[in-house]
Amino acid sequence: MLNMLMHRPVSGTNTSMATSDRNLLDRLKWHQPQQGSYFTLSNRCYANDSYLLASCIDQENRPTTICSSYGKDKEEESKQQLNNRYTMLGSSPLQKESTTSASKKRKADAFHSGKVGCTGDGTVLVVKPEVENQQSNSNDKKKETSGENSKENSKALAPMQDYIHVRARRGQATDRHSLAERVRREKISERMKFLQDLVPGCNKITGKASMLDEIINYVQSLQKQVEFLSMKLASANSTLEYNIDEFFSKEMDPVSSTTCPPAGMPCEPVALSYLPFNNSEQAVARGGLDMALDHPELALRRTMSAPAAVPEAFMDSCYTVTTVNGSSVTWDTNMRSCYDMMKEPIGSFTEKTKWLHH
Amino acid sequence: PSLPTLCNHLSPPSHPSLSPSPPLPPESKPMSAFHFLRALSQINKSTPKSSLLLRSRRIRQAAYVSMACRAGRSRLWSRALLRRLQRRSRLRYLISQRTRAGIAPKRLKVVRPRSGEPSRAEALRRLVPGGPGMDYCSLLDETAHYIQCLSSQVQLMQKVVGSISCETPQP
Repeated sequence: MLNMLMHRPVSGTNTSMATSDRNLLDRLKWHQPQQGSYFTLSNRCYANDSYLLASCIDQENRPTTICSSYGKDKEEESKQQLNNRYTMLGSSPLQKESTTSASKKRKADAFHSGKVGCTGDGTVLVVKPEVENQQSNSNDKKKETSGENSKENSKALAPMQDYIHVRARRGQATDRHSLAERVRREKISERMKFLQDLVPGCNKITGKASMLDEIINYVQSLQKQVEFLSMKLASANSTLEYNIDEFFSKEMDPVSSTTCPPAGMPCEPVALSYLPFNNSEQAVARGGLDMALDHPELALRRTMSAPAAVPEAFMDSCYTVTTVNGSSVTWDTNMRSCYDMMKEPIGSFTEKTKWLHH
Repeated sequence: PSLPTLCNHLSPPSHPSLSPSPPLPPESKPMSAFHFLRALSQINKSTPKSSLLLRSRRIRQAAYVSMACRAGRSRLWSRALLRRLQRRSRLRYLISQRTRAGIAPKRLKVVRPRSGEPSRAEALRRLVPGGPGMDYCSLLDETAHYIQCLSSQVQLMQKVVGSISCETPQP
């Protein structure tokens, strides 16, 4: 029975973890001493604040704990969780606690002697509680083996910063392929959990195949929805110029009220980003999409065609909303003129929609 | 007839002057909405009103492009999407030499399907842009991000449609 506890902040930023298996294999160092085998694989993709705690408990109450924590504040927490696991098992937590601290000290010493750079802000903690009766003498042997291992590892992986220590259970395969496979499975299950949270209605489903089906259905439905909405927009496009200003006034209001208000400064780039109607350098500097290129065309349209009020109204509304939050008088008048301009297209649009609906 | 709308839309990541593309600012959500709406108005002006199909296709492409631009170049799926659309538009229109020189197309190595992964993963690969080149782990990762972006884009489009349909006064 494999019981995994994964405590990692699941976030979108943590995606650099997705190293390929080949990469992982290359970084995996393995040793096989007489007592047990420690495996150190370095993965610099784990950020300093993220930590991983996984405890595997087999059926004969022989806990083997893989724990690597980064950041000193997380250490206490992980120890607490370890204790919880042990109390759940029914064995005495104090004894385990002593083993924990002892092995931690051993590990720290080993790292000091091995000149590893990760002792600066992250501590690595390896717990290997054995069967109770041979605990004392096995500790000494372990001390030696762990010291050796970490020295060798530190020699091999001196520039690496962060470590994950993986300890194989008794009876589990310990070659590097199966270890890498295990790590990969962990990652996959973690991502599956994240996807499960993301896709609605996926929480009740168990089983990876049906979950994948659900995810596929969801993605398909989203893509179809985009298609359908673009159809709708294509049919309704004639009224778009009229609505853009209004939409933006709606969009900008919550933004300027929620994110911007305390400083007042962040409002300005938003307001400036609308300048490219006049100023093409701004667009280039901002790395905006296509403003610089089609700006002349827009200007031409403005000077030549009758509905010249559209871009102006657009600009004015943006300015009133972003810079002067309260006053919407000018905005209203502009909207009126805009609406007057757009009367005929609206008529054609309603006809079209009628045709679409039937 | 219209070179400008989509090609211009597709050009920014490949601009030699702009590469490497700057990191997206925190206010990129309204900005991407702004880009999308501008593309919409461009499409509206440039394409003939009669061909509904062509316009809807362009709007869909604009939606995908604005989505991918919001996601940035660090994501596999957005890169694949932009590349695909760009290749398509390259076939369709004439693009300037500068644009063509801009992107050095990165080769995605095609990973053979693993034996361990479920059979439905292939279907997911076909759905997520750039999926055939990913291994299963990063496929799930990219799928999660893709779903997030897609749903936010759908929300945006729904908002636009809603604002159009409910704000249309009866003449």
